[in-house]
Amino acid sequence: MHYFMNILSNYPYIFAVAMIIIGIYILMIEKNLIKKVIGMNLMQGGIILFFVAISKIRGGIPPIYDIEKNQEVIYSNPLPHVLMLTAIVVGVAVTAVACALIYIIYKNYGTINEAELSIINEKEDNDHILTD
Amino acid sequence: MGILQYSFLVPLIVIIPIIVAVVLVFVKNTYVSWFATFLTTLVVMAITSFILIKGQFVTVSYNFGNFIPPFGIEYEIDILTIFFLFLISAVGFLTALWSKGNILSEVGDKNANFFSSIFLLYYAGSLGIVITNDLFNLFVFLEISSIASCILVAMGRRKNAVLAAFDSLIIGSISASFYLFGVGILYLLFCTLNANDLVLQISKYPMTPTLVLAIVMLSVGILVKFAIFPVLWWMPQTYQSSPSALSAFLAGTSVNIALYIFIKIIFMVVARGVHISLDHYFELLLIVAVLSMFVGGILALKQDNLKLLLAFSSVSQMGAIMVGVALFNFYGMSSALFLAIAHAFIKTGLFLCVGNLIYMFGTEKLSELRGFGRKAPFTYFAIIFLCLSLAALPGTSLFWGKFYLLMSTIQSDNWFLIVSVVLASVLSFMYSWKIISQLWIAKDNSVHLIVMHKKTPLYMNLAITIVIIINIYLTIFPNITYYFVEQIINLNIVSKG
Amino acid sequence: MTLSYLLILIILIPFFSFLTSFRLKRYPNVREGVNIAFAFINFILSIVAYNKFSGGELASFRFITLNQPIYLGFYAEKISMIFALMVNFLWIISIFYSMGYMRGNKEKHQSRFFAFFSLSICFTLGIAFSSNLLTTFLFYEALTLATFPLVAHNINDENRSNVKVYLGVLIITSLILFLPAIIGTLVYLGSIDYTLGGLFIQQESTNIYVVLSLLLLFIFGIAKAGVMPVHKWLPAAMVAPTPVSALLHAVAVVKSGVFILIKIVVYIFGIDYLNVILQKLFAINWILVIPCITIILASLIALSQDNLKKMLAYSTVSQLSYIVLGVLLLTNAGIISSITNILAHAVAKITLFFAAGAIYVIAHKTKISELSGIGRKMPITMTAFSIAALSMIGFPLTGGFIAKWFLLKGIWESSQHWVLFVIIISTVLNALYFLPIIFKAFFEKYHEDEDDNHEGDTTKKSLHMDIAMIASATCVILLYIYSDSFIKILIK
Repeated sequence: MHYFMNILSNYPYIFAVAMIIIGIYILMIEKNLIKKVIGMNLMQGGIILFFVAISKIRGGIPPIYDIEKNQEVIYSNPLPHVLMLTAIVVGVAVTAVACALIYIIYKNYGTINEAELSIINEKEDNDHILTD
Repeated sequence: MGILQYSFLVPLIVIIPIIVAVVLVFVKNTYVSWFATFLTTLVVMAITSFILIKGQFVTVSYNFGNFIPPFGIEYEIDILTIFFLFLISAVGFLTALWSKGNILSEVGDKNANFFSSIFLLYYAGSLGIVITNDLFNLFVFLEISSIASCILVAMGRRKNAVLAAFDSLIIGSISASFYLFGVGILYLLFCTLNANDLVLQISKYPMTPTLVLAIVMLSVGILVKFAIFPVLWWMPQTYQSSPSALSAFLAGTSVNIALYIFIKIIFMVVARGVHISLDHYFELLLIVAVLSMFVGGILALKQDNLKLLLAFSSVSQMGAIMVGVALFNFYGMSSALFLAIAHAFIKTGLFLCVGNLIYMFGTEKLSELRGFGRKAPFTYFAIIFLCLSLAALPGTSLFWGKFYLLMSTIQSDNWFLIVSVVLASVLSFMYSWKIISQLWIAKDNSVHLIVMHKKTPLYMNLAITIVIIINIYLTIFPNITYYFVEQIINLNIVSKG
Repeated sequence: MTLSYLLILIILIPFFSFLTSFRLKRYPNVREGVNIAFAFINFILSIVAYNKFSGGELASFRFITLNQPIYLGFYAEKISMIFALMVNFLWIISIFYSMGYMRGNKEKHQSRFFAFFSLSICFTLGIAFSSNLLTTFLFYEALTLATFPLVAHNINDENRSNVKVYLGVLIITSLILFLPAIIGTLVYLGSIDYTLGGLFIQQESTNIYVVLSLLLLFIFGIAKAGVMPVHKWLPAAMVAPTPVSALLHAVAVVKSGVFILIKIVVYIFGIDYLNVILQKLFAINWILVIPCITIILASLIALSQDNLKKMLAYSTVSQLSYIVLGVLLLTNAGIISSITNILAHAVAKITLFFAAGAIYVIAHKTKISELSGIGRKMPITMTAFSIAALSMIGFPLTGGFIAKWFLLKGIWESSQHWVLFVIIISTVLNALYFLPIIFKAFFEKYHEDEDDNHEGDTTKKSLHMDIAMIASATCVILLYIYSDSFIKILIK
């Protein structure tokens, strides 16, 4: 029981891992490219959640230094938050590029379904460069 | 004192290309942007060579914002770093020198300046991965290089370029996520992101399942990104559909970057005999490496598209390098480094040659290129020379690596491994010979070739010539490489573990 | 000039010849003149080098060093000096012959032919002087690649598969057997240098099975020595022009194969050491079975061939195994027989191939059954052929006799008497496939071809080819006459 409670009290990690696994599942199973991008975002979200979770320290308060407070106050770890800000920016950049690519794919092939795309792609001549 | 007063040069290696990349977005002239790229890579290579020669293997580091190492971001150049840094900057310089004609033929005027700009971004990302000592910073550079490479791939003029770009973006993002997850676990355990600090902490720490999970996550991330066995399919497609300048740069550097990160992590974790509990990990790595050696080799044999063939051969070589790393003895490690450096220059050269062919004839299919020798003798002889090197015949630069690899496998007394390494070397001979025989012995088909340009410009041939000279140099003076490799392994094992 | 520089010069001169052959594409006469000049210089230099060596001068030279045991280098040693002398001498003769053959046959790409011919000689000399196994391996592979353009000279759709077999067998065996054997030796002993008395003797405790498996890896890995399962490349290489076949079978490729084998047995394993090891394992030296089977089987196949060149190829396979047998007898007489056999077989086989080529160029005949009466049309050719064939059988007054004599002596010394029967059977078989040809050529009536339009060519004789054949046939006999002094050198 104690063990079970221990796991339950660490619920953010469970959520994080669940999000990552669901994200990977979507990436592997889904044929629609947009859904793939969503899966990718979900996975990144899981990792961000994981980082945010590890920054929390039991009994810790927001890490804002206050000169009047006692020196022995426990702060939460601010570093992972900072890191995750960067990671979010990176994630947004990746999503933007992915969306742009999907747009071009749709323009070129008329579909964003991976199965259809691979069928079309097999018939194409990919060995030669296109000339204007 | 010496080199330490020049530590301000360290961040410049990454910063200069990034600044130039941003500026180049606004430059519309193809010639100017190409020249700026060329100049930037030249400057970066000059800086790395300066540190290499002047440094005498002293570790140089630069702390951003003057934070003292465990905190803040630290760029550090030690002997392992300078080895790879020099390799990447040299390959980048050669491809940049060569790329002008290729940009015109495979990217087109419209995107030419963007190509240069993003190429520099990718260059900076690759250098950043190697130079940074901060694990999270490494993640950022991984993502930068993955986004940049995917945009570059999408600029290719082949029909499937966009698809390949999307695939590589997804793969890059998955691998980066795994990597980041591993870093998260490490941070959870040790509260530090600085690699040197981690080494110290880990050496005092017992091997718990959590730590193993972290290592596995990190290695999975890297192996996915660099196309080891189970997820190798996206990579040849990327190489094939991207402009040859990028293929050459990717082929030369991606294997090395993977190796670098891998060595860094393994050296970091495997401190003072902790690796005994990692035996299963190395066994698994060996199996994966052997499989990718074979799958890459066999698939390479089947290809008619020259770029695909070379890409699959990269998968196979990557497997061979991983075998060396996974054996984890002196000869294994040195074989990995030997193979990595020789393979980088051979593959770069070969992709540059393919780019030459595309520039002249607009095709990369072996069956269409048969007997092109009379029309382009320089490229023809360059390809034959480099293919013989790729086959790892004695008297070529790759042979020393293969020799050491065989030596370490025979020392390990693992029959399965000996047989598979030997067979893989036969495979690598066979696919290299396939190129030569198709171009030389097979029936002449060159009358049907459409000649787009009669000759390649001088700078393209110059780049290939330099690659060949480097290969000859590596062949004749293996003792210099050996000296380097010995230093790297000794220093890393002695000082860090 | 010291001996080491002399050795390097001897290796480099054929390389210069390779380079100039391409340069002088437009002037065939100058090209061949330069080639012959180079060959002469090289021959003289190797005589000088030999004299210096017998004077007691030592030579060693390293050119690429990785670390202590792993390097590439040359050194001088008795067997290799003799081998180099032989190669250089036969080089001169074969250039003469090639001039006649290539021009008479109006072959294309003659410059390429002469260039790669010289390059093959260069690599063969590299093998001769190499001071460790790695250097040998380097030149072994280089030789395969350098002879490849020669074998593929007249490539077309029919013989493409043969060319593939040639390259495939040689390279793949070397990669999967020879190279692992070298590295195994290096890992096991920590050195791969050729050492007087053998390397293994320095090892205190040895695992017999490791030694045995290394020996087998070497025997089968050096496919150029033509032991039976890996002999396939040799008949396949018959698609080449005849001077190339002569080069392959007499001078460069096969001889370097057996030469390497001799060096490995003598300088890596050591005769005494192997004797001890093998006696521990079994009373009868079962390893001898490998060459014995090859000798008999190859002779039988040769007997069934109608194509003259194919027959000669299988005869070579059988003769090579004589040499391998001599080495594996592990006695001094055996080794002497092997070295003598290398020389005797080289001059005899080159003569045979020259004759076969001459018959092809002048009479356009390739089959044994068509040779009736050819001896009267081409007396010089067929006389040379007969002398060489007698040497192959081991007839007295020819070099082959000396070799066989010492082989028998070696068998007696090693007390493996059952091998005697193999030799007797094979000698009978040799006689069975050579004597009918001689008989046919001289005592049957000339059979007129239906395509008589070559008649004009038949009367035309090639002086170059005749000179070459006379020279090499004379050597066959000289080898017998001067065998005394020669053997003395070897025994020393």
